[in-house]
Amino acid sequence: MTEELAPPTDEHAEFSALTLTALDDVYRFARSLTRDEADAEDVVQETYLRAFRSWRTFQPGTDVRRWLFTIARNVFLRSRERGQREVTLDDDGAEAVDAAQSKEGWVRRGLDPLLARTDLAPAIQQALEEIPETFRSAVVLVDLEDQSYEDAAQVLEIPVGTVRSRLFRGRKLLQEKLALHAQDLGLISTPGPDRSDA
Amino acid sequence: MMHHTHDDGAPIKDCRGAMNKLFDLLDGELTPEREREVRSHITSCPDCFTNHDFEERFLKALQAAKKSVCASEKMRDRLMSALRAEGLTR
Ligand SMILES: [Zn+2]
Repeated sequence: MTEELAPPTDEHAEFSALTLTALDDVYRFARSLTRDEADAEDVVQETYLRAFRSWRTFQPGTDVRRWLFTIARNVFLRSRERGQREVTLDDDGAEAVDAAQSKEGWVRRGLDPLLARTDLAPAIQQALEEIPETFRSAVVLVDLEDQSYEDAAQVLEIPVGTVRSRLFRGRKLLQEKLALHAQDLGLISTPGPDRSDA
Repeated sequence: MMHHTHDDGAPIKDCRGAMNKLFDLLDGELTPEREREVRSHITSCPDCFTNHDFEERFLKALQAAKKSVCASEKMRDRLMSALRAEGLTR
């Protein structure tokens, strides 16, 4: 079965050259989906096995990372189909976003000193894991992996306008999480009545 | 298929118009003429300039954070073994 589907040897080098350079990116995306190291590694492995088996369906000249992200997301969705409830989509986190926006001035005051720090990566990774998956996927694809709105829309199978709104919400939620982090570090006090927003 | 940006084509007249396009601008999703228009407002408006500067620094911090997560050597080895078992020869 696999012998029929696997590409001949001369295509193997091409597969390796194109897909393996994206391993870190695919792993990061899988991590953002699973929020678990071991689960992410399983998703990555399954993604690459599928990619290898169907390498001939990859269209040369198109973005190989977008193709791998799409497979990874499908692998992830299938892996948790068993017994898992459907994720609620767009409304998920909407209230939290509203709350975050009402605290915009506070968030801004907290993030300003935080963004000047160089050791922000762990806090950002932590904050990413705390926001709902629908927003996290959009943010990871566009902000970390440099995918265009159109590419992210294809990977996530949603309209471009939905990518845009999820990005906006996701970023605002992240900013609020980071402002809380700034508060933990004593960089700002607790959110009070907002004085800075006009 | 939807278009690149959902843009009604109306000129950027005020801060609200410019800020609605802020993330599209930062993400490189605007057409060149639209980008010029938004940039021209932002550079001449202190409030929008501040907002742009803040969101830009935030997005740069996100981008920089990606380096902190990468596939381990162990997982790379495991993956290569699995691919070879599947028939990968190179
Ligand atoms: Zn303005």
